Amino acid sequence: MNAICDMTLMGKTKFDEVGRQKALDRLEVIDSKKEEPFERIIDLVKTTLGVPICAVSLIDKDRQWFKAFRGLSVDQRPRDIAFCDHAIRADEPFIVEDARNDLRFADNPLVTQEPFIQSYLGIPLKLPDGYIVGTLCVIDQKPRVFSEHEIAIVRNLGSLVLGELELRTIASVDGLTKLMSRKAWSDTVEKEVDRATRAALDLSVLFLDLNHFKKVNDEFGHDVGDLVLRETSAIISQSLRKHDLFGRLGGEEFAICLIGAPLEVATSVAERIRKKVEELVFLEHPALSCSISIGIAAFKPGQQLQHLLKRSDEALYKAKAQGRNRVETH
Amino acid sequence: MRKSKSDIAMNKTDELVESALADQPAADLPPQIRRVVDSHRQNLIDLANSLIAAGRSEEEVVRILEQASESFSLALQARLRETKS
Repeated sequence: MNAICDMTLMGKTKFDEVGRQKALDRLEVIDSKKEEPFERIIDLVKTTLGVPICAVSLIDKDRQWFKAFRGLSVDQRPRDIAFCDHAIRADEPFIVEDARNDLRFADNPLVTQEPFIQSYLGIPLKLPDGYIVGTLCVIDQKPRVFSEHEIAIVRNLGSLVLGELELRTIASVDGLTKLMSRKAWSDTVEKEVDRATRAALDLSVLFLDLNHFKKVNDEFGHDVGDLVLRETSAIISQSLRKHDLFGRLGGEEFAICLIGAPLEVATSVAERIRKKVEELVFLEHPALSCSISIGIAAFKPGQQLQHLLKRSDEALYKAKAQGRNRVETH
Repeated sequence: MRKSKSDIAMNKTDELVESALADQPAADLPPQIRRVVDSHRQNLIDLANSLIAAGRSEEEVVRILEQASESFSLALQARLRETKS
């Protein structure tokens, strides 16, 4: 009996670790309390497959954390020994039929000690954005060949877990632009501000406003207005690093948190964004042009997010008062 | 014309899923949530088919679908409350 890990069927799955971790962070599920839907699914897995151990396992930076589990004595383990860390590396069920006779796992402490894993089936939990954040896994304490039917059942139960996870993201993602919602952005940036305070790091907040957006809606209609919001968001996203935080605060207002960026760097990024938006071309609407005003505030030790936002908003007001389509700092 | 086993199974699956989803909150869902609900319906159909293919009894399939659907309803209602607030 061998371990099966088909690396040929990756499709549109994304495997970069930074993006994967961000996708997991967006779910805001790590270290959350028990939730009935996940508990019920995990009960279903246990009874339907008749296994002693199963879990909704999420792979965080350096650990695996169990959103729901049965048959385990702890709710997290180091990532470097986790079977699930292998399972998230391909978009196919990951199967180990006899861990004691598998060179990769024979001396793994999870095999030689509690919980004495001998067989494992992990279904990757792939979010709609292509990132695999964890697995729905079933474990037996004896060697086991999982039948095609059993794999299909666990795979389908895995889809139900994904549905539950996806429901979580709805409130955190802006439906039109797919950027972070106001709440998600604020929650995430607040944590970054705390981190900047603790570690004395640089951080800047950009407040952006599309100029004369009401006029676009009035003259071209709301469909075109939506197109402008989507295209502008997309072109700005391309100008940012993966770990920068970009959100739509509402209407035509956006905010960006540039992590690790002092004021000079933020000003240069903002100017690049301003130019890119100014150069946007809408092929189906040649008469349409758009521009953006940006206000910037750099983090000062002891400041909270609300102060940073207020200061960047004041800088934005200055940019608008001085003729729009420009960048101003506080 | 006689129905094939897979036709019968499919009809049965539809019935089971409809029955399991009977208590789902109806209409006027925001489009994003509607998409997840539609996807959940398909997931239940797939789950029912895999259970039937594995030879599970109708009673067991019904019980599993009801339980799976109930859990989703709980999460859905919580999310709807959040999006309204």
